[in-house]
Amino acid sequence: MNCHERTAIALNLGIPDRVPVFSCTEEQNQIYEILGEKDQAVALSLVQEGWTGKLFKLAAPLANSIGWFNRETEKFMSKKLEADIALGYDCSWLMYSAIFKLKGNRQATDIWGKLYDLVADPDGNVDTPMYRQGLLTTPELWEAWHHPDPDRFYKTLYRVFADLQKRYGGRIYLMGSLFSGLWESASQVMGLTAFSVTLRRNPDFVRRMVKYYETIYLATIHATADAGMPAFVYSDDMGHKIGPQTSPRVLDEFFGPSLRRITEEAHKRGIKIIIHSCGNVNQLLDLFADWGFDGVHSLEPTADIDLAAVKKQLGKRMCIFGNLDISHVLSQGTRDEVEAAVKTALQAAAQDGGFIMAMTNSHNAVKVENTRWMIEYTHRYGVYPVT
Amino acid sequence: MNEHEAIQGVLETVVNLDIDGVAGQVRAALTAGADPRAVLSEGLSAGMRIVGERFQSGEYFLTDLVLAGEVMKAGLVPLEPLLTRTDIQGKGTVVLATVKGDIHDIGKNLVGMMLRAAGFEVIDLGADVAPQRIVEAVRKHQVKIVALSVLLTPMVASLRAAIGEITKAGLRDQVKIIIGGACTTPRLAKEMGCDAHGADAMAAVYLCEKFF
Repeated sequence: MNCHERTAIALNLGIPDRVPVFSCTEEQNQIYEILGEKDQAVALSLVQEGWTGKLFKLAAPLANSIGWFNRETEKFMSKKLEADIALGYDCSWLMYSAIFKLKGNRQATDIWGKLYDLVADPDGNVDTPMYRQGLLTTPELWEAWHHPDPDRFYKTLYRVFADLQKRYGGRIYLMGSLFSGLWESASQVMGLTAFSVTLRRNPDFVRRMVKYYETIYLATIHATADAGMPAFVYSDDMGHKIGPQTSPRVLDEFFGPSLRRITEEAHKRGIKIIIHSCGNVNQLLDLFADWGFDGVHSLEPTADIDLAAVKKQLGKRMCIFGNLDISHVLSQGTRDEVEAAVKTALQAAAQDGGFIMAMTNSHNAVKVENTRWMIEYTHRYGVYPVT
Repeated sequence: MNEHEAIQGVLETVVNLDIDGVAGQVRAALTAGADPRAVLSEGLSAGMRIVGERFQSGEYFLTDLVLAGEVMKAGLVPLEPLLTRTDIQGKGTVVLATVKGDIHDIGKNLVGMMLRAAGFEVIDLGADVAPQRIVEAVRKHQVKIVALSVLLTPMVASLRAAIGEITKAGLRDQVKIIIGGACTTPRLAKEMGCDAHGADAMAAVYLCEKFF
């Protein structure tokens, strides 16, 4: 079987030849290490300190006007896929995140209305910008923001996805994705405090916000399908360490209808759609299935999620992706620990198919060596029948 | 409406997260003759404690806790001019920070909010705080508790550095160190030589009350 067949069977809750392995790696340090191109990474100190920092700060408006940062981000998407193919992944989460504008040399904003800090990875190189706060803290500010037009957004995404599908889609099963789901978009552009107050005082506005983000997501689904990609990862961190960030009732009332329309559209277009959500999402699992998602990813063990219990609860409705720990096993763990974790995950969720091995998230502390072990042991122990 | 009923009304307004009703309810309590300190402790703070307990039990969620903080702030507006600083923050002083290299602050802010609601003075140093700043704050404010937040696994080293600096400054015996955040566990707290691990914002309040 090839990676496409294997992944498609697992997504359809069937039993392939072996358990597929899913890449969610987005970190520069790891991708450049895999490709032997560590010299390509850009040191944050170059961007922020000394005369180069001053130059960068002055040039930021020009860089924004020519879309430099986003073009580099799009190029990096190719590097990510080359690295995934080199490591032997079957399927890859390909997140479109060319959505930033530099704000000097220390911060960036995005097209949705969020502010980020430019931060470094452990090697001191530029890492994914880190969310700092929302800029649209009132309904008035949100209404006044120049929101992306869904039609233009479709065209940009289609261009990028079609190109990557053409160049890499034959060698790895691609799953398109977009930075920030409906919940993250709504709560983060306002900031959690302003959002929580607005949810109480002006729920109709929240519904209007969510409806707009739905139009963007529908455009994204169409771009993914038209580009020929077979699946989509809907990324939306609804959990935190001990539970959902808001009540399941609120999520279902305000976001559920839009999510149902998004998954319906994905299915009409013939693509599978997986939900990624960090944190303790135990209370949301049935909702994920009710909303129409075909698979669920992250399932962090450090957020009190039991993979076997999830498999039992959802295994007949959704493909389970997970759930190798990044806080220790894949960042500091020994070879034996990675082997044990892979075996545990396989035992918990793989035996009757509908399972795809994955680490819980992308993180710059994860070691490439440990990632290789994860893939190696999945190839070794994940051949069906898995015992 | 008598004073007791009016204060009970303030408590219920907080528990019900009624951000638009709380200031009016506080004024009604004051008009009914309630002592401002009683309105604060038995109305606002008591209401916040119930909110914290409901969050711990899973009935309330993060957005509810955050909203409750705003309800408390709105309730304090008519009350603060009538209170002294000791009335509001007399239980003790806590230094609060997210460690160097980590800019996440939602959890830290919630801890700060719950501690203030419980009557503590909070010296919030913000996020991405260098160890030396924590030491300076401990010295300056003569605090007994340092609460450190860390979300990201790679920043555990910063936590170690902060504790190291406190120890090097000869202040370790003076303070209790509590840690919290997504990547923290009771085991990590023990490994780091901390005094406690707080699983959530309400747990932080209980720990501070215990240590004071």
